[in-house]
Amino acid sequence: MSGITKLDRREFLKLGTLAGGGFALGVYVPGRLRSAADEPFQPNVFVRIDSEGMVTIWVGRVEMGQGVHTALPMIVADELDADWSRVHVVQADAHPTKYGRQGTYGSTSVRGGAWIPLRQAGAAAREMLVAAAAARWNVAPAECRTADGQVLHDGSRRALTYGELADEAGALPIPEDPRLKDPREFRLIGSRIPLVDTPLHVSGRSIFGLDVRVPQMLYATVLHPPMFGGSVERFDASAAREVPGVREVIELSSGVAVVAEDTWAAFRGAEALDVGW
Amino acid sequence: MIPLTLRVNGRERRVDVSPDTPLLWVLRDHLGLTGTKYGCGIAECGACTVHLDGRPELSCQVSVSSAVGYEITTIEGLSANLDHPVQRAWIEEDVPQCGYCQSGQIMTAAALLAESPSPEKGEIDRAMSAVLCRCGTYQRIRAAVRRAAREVG
Repeated sequence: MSGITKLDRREFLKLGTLAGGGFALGVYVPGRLRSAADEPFQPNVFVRIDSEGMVTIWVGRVEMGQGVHTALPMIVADELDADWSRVHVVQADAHPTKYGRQGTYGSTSVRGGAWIPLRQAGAAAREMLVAAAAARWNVAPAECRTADGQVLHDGSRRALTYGELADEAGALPIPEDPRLKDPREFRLIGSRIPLVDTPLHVSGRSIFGLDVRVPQMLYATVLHPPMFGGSVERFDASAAREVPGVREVIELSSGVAVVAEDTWAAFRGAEALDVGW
Repeated sequence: MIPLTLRVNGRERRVDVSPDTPLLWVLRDHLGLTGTKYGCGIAECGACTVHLDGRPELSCQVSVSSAVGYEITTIEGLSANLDHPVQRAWIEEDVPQCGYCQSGQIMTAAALLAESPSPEKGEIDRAMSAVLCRCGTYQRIRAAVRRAAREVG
């Protein structure tokens, strides 16, 4: 994605030229239960349809086992009439502002804000794809329907995949008020879908906070005060610094951190600290 | 520090660490095998379970020097393409919720079935009690172990 080209309406942002073709919509999902009127517009969920027909959904919220990596894309994919087997979910990186609030609490990810914006995003993208197909076939959009990642024109028995339409659809304006499905039309929402992260968990490839690795990183542990509101009165780091692998001992507002070449050295350094609280 | 040679997931790996370092931290911090999880560090939770010559061991309690000479298997080495019967059963039963403990669960279940291909219900519960799951996926874990046992047996 190379930058934002134009703000079509408050809830959506169409993103610029994409390396793999197709188009992307940025959607704003408010972070609180109530209105988001006081929060600046900042898309925090991104939906992309590329020219291969793959639908990629970036989820800014943190997956903690509550299922947002599966539930949020289901909402988009249902309104989009996507082929679920071609929907790919990406955990957005942690960023101070880019994805809005990234925390996961109080059912805010689905119930508190995403429900309508994500449905609108899926519905808007669907209407853009229908408009692109209708233009190509020179028929009215109302004569077309969508299913499993395709636009179909039953009258002439023609069909085009979303991938074939993605570039043309991306050149069209975002619809102001896309029609949302009647709940009776839902295919994915309300059905039992296996969690998309399960193969990662089962192979040990899922990345939790403690598994993040960056080049040349060191490992730290913090010795916290043994009482609420405690603080460091004095500390002697000389024994901790003698532990092989310990690089640095740093006083924090709430304790003392030991930084080392691996976790075990940090733990042993913390054990060797002499702290008066 | 004297370099040690370990055999991990079928490969020889040389590591230069203090010999009393628990195997867990050598796997995670030195060999980049982060599938093995740190839960408690005091042999209570089972999240760090790996195989030494096929037997389940808590890698937070095994010093790296005492793991020399054993065939060490971690979750990353259990199968090439998620085709171990236990992994397949885990997917079929949709076991994980947050997933953090699941490497330890799977390695424990795989070791159980290698030792006892058709375990009784009590045997499954006894073996799997070694690994805690804070999400409480125990019912699905039990169902998945039984499913894998049917496939193996």
